[in-house]
Amino acid sequence: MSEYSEIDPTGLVEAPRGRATRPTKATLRERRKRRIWPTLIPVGVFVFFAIFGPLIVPFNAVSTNIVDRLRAPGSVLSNGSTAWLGTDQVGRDMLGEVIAGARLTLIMAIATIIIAGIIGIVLGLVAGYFGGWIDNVIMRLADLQLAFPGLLLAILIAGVLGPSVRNVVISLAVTRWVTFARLARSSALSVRKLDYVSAARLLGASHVRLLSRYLLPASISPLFVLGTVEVGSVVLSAASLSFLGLGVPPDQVDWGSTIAAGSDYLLSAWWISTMPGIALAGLVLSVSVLGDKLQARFAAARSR
Amino acid sequence: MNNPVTARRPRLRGIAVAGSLVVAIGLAGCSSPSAAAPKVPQNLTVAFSQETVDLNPYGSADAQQGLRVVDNQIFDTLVTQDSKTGKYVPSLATKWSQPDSLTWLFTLRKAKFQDGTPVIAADVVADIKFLAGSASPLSSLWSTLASVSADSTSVVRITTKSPLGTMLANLSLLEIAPASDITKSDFGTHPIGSGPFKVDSFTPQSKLVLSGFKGYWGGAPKLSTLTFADIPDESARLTALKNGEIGLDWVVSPDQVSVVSGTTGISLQESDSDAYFFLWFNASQKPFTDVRVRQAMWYAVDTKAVTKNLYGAAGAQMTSPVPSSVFGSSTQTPYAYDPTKAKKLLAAAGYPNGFTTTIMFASDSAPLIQQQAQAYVSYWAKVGVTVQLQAQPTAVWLQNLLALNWQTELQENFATTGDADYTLGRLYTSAANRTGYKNPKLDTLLSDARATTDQSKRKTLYAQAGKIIWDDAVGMFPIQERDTYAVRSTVKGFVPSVTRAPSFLTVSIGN
Repeated sequence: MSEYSEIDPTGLVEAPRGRATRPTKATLRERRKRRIWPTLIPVGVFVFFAIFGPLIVPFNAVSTNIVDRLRAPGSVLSNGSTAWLGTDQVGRDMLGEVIAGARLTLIMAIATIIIAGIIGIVLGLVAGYFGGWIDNVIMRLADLQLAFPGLLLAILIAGVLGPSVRNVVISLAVTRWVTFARLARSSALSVRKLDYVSAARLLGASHVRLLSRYLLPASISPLFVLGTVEVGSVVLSAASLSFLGLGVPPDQVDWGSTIAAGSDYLLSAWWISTMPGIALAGLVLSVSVLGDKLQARFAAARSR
Repeated sequence: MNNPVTARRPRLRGIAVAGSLVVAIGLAGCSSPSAAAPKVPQNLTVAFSQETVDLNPYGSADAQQGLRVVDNQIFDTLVTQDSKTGKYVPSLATKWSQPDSLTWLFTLRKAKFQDGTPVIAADVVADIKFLAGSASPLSSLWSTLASVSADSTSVVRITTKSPLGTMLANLSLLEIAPASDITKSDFGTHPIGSGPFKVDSFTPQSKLVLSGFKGYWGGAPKLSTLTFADIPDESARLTALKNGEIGLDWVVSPDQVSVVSGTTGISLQESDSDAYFFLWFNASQKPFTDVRVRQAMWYAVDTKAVTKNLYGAAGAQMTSPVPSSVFGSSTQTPYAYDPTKAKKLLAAAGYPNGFTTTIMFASDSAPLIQQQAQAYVSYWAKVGVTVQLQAQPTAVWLQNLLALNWQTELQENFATTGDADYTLGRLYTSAANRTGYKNPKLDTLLSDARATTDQSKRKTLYAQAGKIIWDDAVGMFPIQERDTYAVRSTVKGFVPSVTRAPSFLTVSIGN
């Protein structure tokens, strides 16, 4: 990140747009590079399957079929159907399992981002807007938390709370709010002294109104970009927790737990760990490419 | 698979031969060359499928396989069971007699503990008293003990309130430790025994390092060190075996046999086993207070299909609450897979729409235990019973198990003494209260069977007790196992054991 600064460490805060100049060939090429929709396609595919997949390929984590266990991809099962991605150690269809895992993984990731985002934005804006001791308390708390490796803290919290989807979201949200808080704070710092905010204050706008109507809108786009970038790493953290047995309980499946269950079979039934592994890598990669594009787009918009 | 260690070995041997030639030529002028091959270091690291949380043979973990396997190396018992004949043979005790039906006299051999002090009768007396009075899962074996005393330094007198037909079986599980040692606080981590190996260091659930005890009465073991590495993850264990980190792995789960079979330098040894699975229902809690619910749970599961598809050649369907090889096993009427009957029974018991419950087990504690639990959960879901999996770490599981803090519970169990008293007589009495099931008639049968020394009468009594346990569905008894050991070819003289606690006295390392 080239534009690192104290008040905007992520370089994402959007500056007011200047007037557009006539595009040259070089800028057109640049723009094509920054085109966002191609990177939306793979992400969209994952989201589509997470929402509608379980309707197309029904899957029940509890229902096992031990007659057809450990079948290789493409095998025809005893009921005549074909397991395109093979079956796992208790005979569940891997295709259904990967899709069901996509749904649970995305639900956990998005819920985490929303909760961490709300906590982080509120605390960050408050810190940046009021300054003084409030700012000090909140940001030192954030620093304190950043001193711990995020996943380690999540493991600790998840270990205490026990395995469940809700607890994964709680433990990841607790470790993720800091990034949002820092960004919201820096944007609040840069905006709060601007004329239109001062004008509103002189007109008698309350703190709540100033925060929600003046400071929040100014920081919402970079926060949105940050949220997108974070999805990838939250998906990875959620999968890590499940892999360690601290994520979803054993009667639910997400990618992390399926990979863990398949690790005993890496040499004999490689597909159990590999299929959700590919899906996980694909999702994280496409989300982070999308995030990079969005970031570049906002950084460019800012520099113009 | 080309193994780097075995591939390298011939070259190393070549270097060694070349080296010894040089030495030989150098020495030729001074003395006659010796042709002795270089001595292979006698250090062996092994790993088995269960965790060792504690070494205290009188503690809460003393019925756990993770403890029995390692304590078998550290301690001696008065008698041991010959694995071929099933007879009890002398160990620390050289001979024994029964002056009357309530009294036993045991004569000890001259043996030393690993700290150099001799094994005397007072130690045995203290050990038996301590175990009988402790809260250990094995203490119920000694419920009929009246008194134990030392006639001399080498003769132990045990008297019982009623005749004890299982005296020798009980003593084959009683590890002998110095009287002064058993109450020490570090007894669970650094115990002293009179067995062939002594404890060098122990880190629970990680590593146990033993070294050979030169003064062992049965001759010094060939190994200088024997290390038990705790590797709960099976694929990690097999990888460790393949790259030579460990020399022996047992038991290999049926799914993993194909991974190691055919590997150069590793051979598979199959063995009969006294291991089996049971799934208990907590009869002290609703809905399992009702016998119809317990039976319905069993009828709802196709144990035959589970055995065949999960375990294949490594498992057989059980016909009684103890494995068929055990003294006192019988043939009971199997619970055929019948979901309709299961639903009817549930409806009759007042659960037409099923109920929600949990199944507790210790994760990674037995081959395919989670897969087995998942299969049951799937079958039960078909009759409307929702069962949540509770996979727990071994130490937590054990605590909950003994506190009856569970609803249904799946575990691998061992008929360690080869006698039905060890399982039936120990686990299913009202006094032991391990399952919440209480039946005075069963109590009488089991105590009669324990008190009788007439073996054919005992057999009949255990058949009757087995029928009650089976028909009342105190638990489900699905699968008895056959074990596979994976052994590196450098490990010589290893013999598997039905108890999964093999002896390492005569094991050595070769080329």
